[in-house]
Amino acid sequence: MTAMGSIVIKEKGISSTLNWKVSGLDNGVHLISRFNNGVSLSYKNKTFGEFANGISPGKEAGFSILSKSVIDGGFLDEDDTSDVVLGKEVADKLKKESNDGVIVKSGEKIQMLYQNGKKRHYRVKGVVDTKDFIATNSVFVTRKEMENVLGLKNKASEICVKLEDPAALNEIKKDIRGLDTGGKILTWSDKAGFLEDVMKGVDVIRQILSGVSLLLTAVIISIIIYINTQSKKRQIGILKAIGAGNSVVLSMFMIQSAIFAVLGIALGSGIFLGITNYLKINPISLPFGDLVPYVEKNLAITYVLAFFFSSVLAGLYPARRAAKGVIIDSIRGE
Amino acid sequence: MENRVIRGSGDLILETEDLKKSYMTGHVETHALCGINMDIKRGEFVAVMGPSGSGKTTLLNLTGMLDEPTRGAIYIDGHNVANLKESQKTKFRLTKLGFVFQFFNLFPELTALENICLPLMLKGKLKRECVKRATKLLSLVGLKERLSHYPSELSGGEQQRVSIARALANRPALILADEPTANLDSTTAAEIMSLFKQLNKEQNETILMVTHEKEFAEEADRVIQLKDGLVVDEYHTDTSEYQAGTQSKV
Repeated sequence: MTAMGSIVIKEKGISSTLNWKVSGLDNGVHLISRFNNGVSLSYKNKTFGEFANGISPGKEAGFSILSKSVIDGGFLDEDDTSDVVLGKEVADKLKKESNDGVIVKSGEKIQMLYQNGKKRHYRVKGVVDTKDFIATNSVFVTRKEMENVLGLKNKASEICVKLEDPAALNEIKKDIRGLDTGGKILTWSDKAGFLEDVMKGVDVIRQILSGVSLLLTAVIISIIIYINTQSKKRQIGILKAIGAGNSVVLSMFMIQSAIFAVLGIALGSGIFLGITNYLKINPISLPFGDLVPYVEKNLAITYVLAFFFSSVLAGLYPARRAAKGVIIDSIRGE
Repeated sequence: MENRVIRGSGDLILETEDLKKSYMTGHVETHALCGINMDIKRGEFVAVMGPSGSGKTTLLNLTGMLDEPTRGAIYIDGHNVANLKESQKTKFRLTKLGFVFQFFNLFPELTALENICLPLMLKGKLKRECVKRATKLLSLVGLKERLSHYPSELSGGEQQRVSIARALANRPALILADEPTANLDSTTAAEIMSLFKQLNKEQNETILMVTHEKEFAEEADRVIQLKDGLVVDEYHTDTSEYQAGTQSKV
């Protein structure tokens, strides 16, 4: 669940053309409408340009995470006309700009100037932190209050669409496009397109780290097997003296490499799953939302196989050296 | 076998012909063996004696194909082994030779029984056969109560007995023993010599033993004396006083 839904049908400003044809879609699609309006927000003689949302608190409760993301004070009630809720980023900005370092919290007074010139005083009822940059940079008043101030009725600037099955996103987007609702149809990634670039960057870093880990694993396994062959040199010599061929010695250390690889993979997978599960419960907060790890099965299998084979291959060189050594030198430990 | 050259009478198990071995120490060449000619008959017990640096261990290592000669030929059971490929040498060591080392050289992670099973398993024997043979050999060397003991739980003499049993595992044509008593006290050393003698007389095992102790060398049928890489003396000993035991061939 997000603060914005999966798809937003958006018009510039407050529109009377944005219609609700979308409500005719199948089950599993939930809708909510919002007013968006640019406002000037004044606090302790400082004024900031902000983005105000007129919302229906009762409907939001079942649709978005807004009412569940209160970090200070409370959330709006349907009939509130003199209260606002601030996104965390707005609250932080006010605190920073006020120069007194005091956190803007519930109970503070602010003033808002609407685009139609109407000025209203509000009490900050609460602060919300939804972890996404759009909602945390917004100010929320009730739809009822915004309609009163702007003198509008049954208008909207955006219709937010929430899907029960996120996998149906593109299909539903296509359906909505066919309904001629008016306005731009944007998915979450359309709205935050830079995220795709960020994720590509993260993916490149992940690939580099994987390559480095693979190389490190191979080097470590190679060193372990080398140390083992050195410490067991005398035994290798004896083994060969009593009739073991090079292939026996080679396979002995290759099996050892394979065992180390399996143990390493088991340990690594355990740690990875532990961290993944921990992060699922305690996600990393980023400006565009919580970062929750996702394990792609095929990629995980590829990595496991790559680690296994690179480890076994890494043991090959020291194992071959040990196997090909002169028996008498090995027995003497040279 | 590719390099097979059948030599001498079927009576000879080992022959060396002008066997030489030199080492380079920096730019200095050291001659460890300077042309050894030696014959050992099947069922013979031969001791090689000599002062330190005379080349006796080098001779044993070359005979056991643990090292390469600089020149000369070695015939084991009629085959010129100096020209064998590495894989052929491995097979030869496994089937024709048994090694007994000065420091026993048992595998510490394996029990007495497992140490003896090892060469049998390398030869491809089934586990059941390996255990049966190893048990019989441990019984032969007087350690049937020590089957599941690890080397660290055995005395030096017992470890050397396990080592001898391991050497016998694949019924070798020749047992090569490198100073097998050097690391033992005199009583235990005498017991080990007695065991060698018993194996030679009762099991008809052919033994080539390197030792620096004259007392033990003279337990053998013949003594070859080395000095500066050359055979300087060779004589037969009188071993007629050996009292045969009741052990049957294993």
